[in-house]
Amino acid sequence: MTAVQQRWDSVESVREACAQFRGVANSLRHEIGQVLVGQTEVVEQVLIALFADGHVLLEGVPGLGKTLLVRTLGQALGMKFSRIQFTPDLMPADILGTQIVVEDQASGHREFQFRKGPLFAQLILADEINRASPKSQSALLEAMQERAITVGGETRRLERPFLVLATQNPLEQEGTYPLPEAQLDRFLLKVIVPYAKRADIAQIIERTTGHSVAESSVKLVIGSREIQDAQLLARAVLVAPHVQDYAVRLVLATHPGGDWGLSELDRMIVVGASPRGAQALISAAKVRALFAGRCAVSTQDIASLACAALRHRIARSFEAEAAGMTCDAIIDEIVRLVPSEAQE
Amino acid sequence: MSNLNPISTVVARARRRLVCGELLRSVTRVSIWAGALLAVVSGCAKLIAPWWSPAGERGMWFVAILAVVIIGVFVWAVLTRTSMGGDVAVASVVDVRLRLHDRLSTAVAVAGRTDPFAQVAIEDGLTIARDRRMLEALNRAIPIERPRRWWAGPSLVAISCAVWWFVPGLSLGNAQVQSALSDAELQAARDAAKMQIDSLQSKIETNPELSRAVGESDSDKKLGNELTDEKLATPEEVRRETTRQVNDLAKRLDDLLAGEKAQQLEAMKDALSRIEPSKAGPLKQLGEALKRGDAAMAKSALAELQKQVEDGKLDPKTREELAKQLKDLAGQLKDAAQANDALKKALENAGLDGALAKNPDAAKSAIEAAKNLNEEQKKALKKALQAQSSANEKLDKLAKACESMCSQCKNGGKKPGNGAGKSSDGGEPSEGAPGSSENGGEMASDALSEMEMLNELMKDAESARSQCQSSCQSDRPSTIPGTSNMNNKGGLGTGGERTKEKSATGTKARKEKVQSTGGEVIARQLVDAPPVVGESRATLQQLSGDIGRGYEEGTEEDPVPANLREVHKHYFGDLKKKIDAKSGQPAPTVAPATTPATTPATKD
Repeated sequence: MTAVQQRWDSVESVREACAQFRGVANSLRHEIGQVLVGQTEVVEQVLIALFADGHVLLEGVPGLGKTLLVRTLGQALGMKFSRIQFTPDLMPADILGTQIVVEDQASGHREFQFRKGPLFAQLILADEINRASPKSQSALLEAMQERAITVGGETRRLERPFLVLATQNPLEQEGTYPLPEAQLDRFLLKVIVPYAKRADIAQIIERTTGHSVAESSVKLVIGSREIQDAQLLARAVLVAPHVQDYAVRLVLATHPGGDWGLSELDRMIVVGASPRGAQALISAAKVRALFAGRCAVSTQDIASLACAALRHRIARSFEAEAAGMTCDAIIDEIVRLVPSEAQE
Repeated sequence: MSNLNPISTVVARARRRLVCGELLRSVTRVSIWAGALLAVVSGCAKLIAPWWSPAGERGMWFVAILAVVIIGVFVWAVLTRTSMGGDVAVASVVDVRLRLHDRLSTAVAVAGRTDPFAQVAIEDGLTIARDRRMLEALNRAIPIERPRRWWAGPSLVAISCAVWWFVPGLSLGNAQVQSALSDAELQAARDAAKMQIDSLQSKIETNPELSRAVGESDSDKKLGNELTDEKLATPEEVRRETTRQVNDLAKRLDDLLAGEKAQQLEAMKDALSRIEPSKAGPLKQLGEALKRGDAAMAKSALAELQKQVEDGKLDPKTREELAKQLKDLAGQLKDAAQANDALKKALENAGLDGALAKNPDAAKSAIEAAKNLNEEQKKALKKALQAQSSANEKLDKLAKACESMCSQCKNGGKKPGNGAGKSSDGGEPSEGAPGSSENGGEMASDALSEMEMLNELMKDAESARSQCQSSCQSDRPSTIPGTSNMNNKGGLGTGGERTKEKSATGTKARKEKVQSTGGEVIARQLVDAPPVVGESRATLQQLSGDIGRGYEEGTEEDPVPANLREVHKHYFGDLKKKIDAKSGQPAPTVAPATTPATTPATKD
């Protein structure tokens, strides 16, 4: 009997676990909301990635609260938090760690000893990841996929849960290196951080420039162990075959020239989503269903997460760029055209 | 396995509603396609008259196959479009329409599973399915209503039927049949026209004088000349040409009936109607015949009298009475010839002295010198003058013939010519008598023959004109026997000896007074003449040179716009040629009577 079967062996236990999960999520939202004003959709998607055991790429111009969000999240989750500021001269050893020569004072013996880099934490903030060179960016690949780091021929496991939250400025800005597709594919979701709304900006000003600036303290909501349990629960959420088929059809629709591709968008996409895209859709949708108090994924969950899960996995054609079609617009069109009803 | 009855009920109900809705949409779609197909078929049938014309057996087969195809497509569409798939698919549709987050479809999909998550999903689905508001919401979410554009199919079918039954076929594609039909109609029209023309020609040719008078003896003017022309490609053109020719003939007959001979006959009849025939006696029959204008009867009576006189069968008393009556008749005829009432009235109407009627030469000079008359009026007056002169001449002949017979009677039946013109009683030549009684009798006979001939001519002309008018007034297509059956109308025949009756409508040649429409004046020429108000009498020949010079001078001083140069050149060039071609003819009227004579050459 698996751990899941042991823990949630009855309808009541499942309902209880779902309710607890929802309570935790609400508490997290509340705590983050104490510090971060607005950006509810961003917080929601970051939490989804957290419980889906995936990494998040946050994209937005500076000053929108990306770093604050990650730091607050680390405080609320009680996870080891580490921040890496990516710069053009950042070397892989600066991230992963390095072997240094250590001399024993007593014996005078010298040996190489591994000094862990900032990646050896649970919640990593890879700030402005696209400012580092591709070499340094690729240092994250193994850690993100395998949750392990190999240095000097020795592989070291990273502590679970492990979550990378990378931020990047829009690629159009100067001094940026676009992330390679292979690395982009490792991110569960790519979250676009929008500009703050009028009321949010007003509230930010009140909080930060007022006469009495309150020092917000974030309570610990959930620990590492509970997070892993929540991740297990999320994996156990039910996905009906026709709902899963919908996710598959969405991903297939991004494949240019494929059997399931849409003729309307055939010339707009150069590279379609990989199977990781379908995995990401389902994983994230499961968490979203739990957030909604449901134990089964719906097609609406998948449709609402399609942009975040697929936008960094497809590459637009020149024709699409010329026509002003963004990746989000293409995915929205796919969601509109692919029927959500069950197909025989 | 959980009891899914509530969910199954919802799914079944949803399926029924979906099938009904899809059935309606399928019916609408198929009806639109069928209507469009029928519209195309009926349109083609009308336009190109295909071989499967509905009237034929193949047409019936075609219609039957078409109906089977439409029904087959309909059944296929209904069967394929209304197969809604399995329960999961139907439940999924309900989920989407009611925003149930796939609870029903997930419950149906995992119905066979027993794990707790599946059981939770099934319970959630059952909870929703058991909700009392579910069925009501389902009815709202899956309504059974008229599909969009449901009217398009029936409308197309109705239009197709209307086209099929009410629109006449053009038969563009059946060129051979159409051509053959056209040839037949053309031939029928030509035959009918020929019959009509032949009838008129035979009518006219019965009187050679009439034939000559209307120009039928002239091969160029002969009726039916152009009817066989290949340019007349359609029956309608043949009918038009026939009507044109008949109208032309009618116009010539009208001219004849209003011409000099007719006026001469009328003048003679008018004059003869004045005589007072003897109420008794041998000359009664001749006098009455002359008064009636019956030339044939008068000629016969005259011949009879002459024969009796020459044979000497008359007793002296009767002969004496006859001589007296003949003398009286001769006097009346002379008086009638001198009366000239018609001419006198015409001259007075024209503003001339009526007394001029007694002197033809003076009347002619006066007519030519009259300033208030235009050329047409002068021409008409001259014609009346000529007619009156001819009538008077014939009346004089008759009077002389009577005098000659009078002398013969007095001589006891002997011809006065034998006495070298001496009268029997005094040896003097009889007054006004011709050189011989034989000449006088011949003259009378000739005069009466001419009058008889004129009478016959006018009667035949009147009859022919009546026939022409009947032909023109009758329904043109119906006058053609060959086409009367095609049009299913009764024709009036090809004329013949029909009685002349007044009708509500008819054709009447009439010259309208034309007024200037105020067009642009492109040339003005001052005439070197006193400023006389009235009819211009300048001849065209006088003006043509001035017009040409004026055009050249005018274009030098004030150049004509480039786009009008050719028009001006063509106009003035043709004008000169036309005037030169009419050289010697009197100038036509170019301005109304009230127009100042300073602008006779105004052309526009």
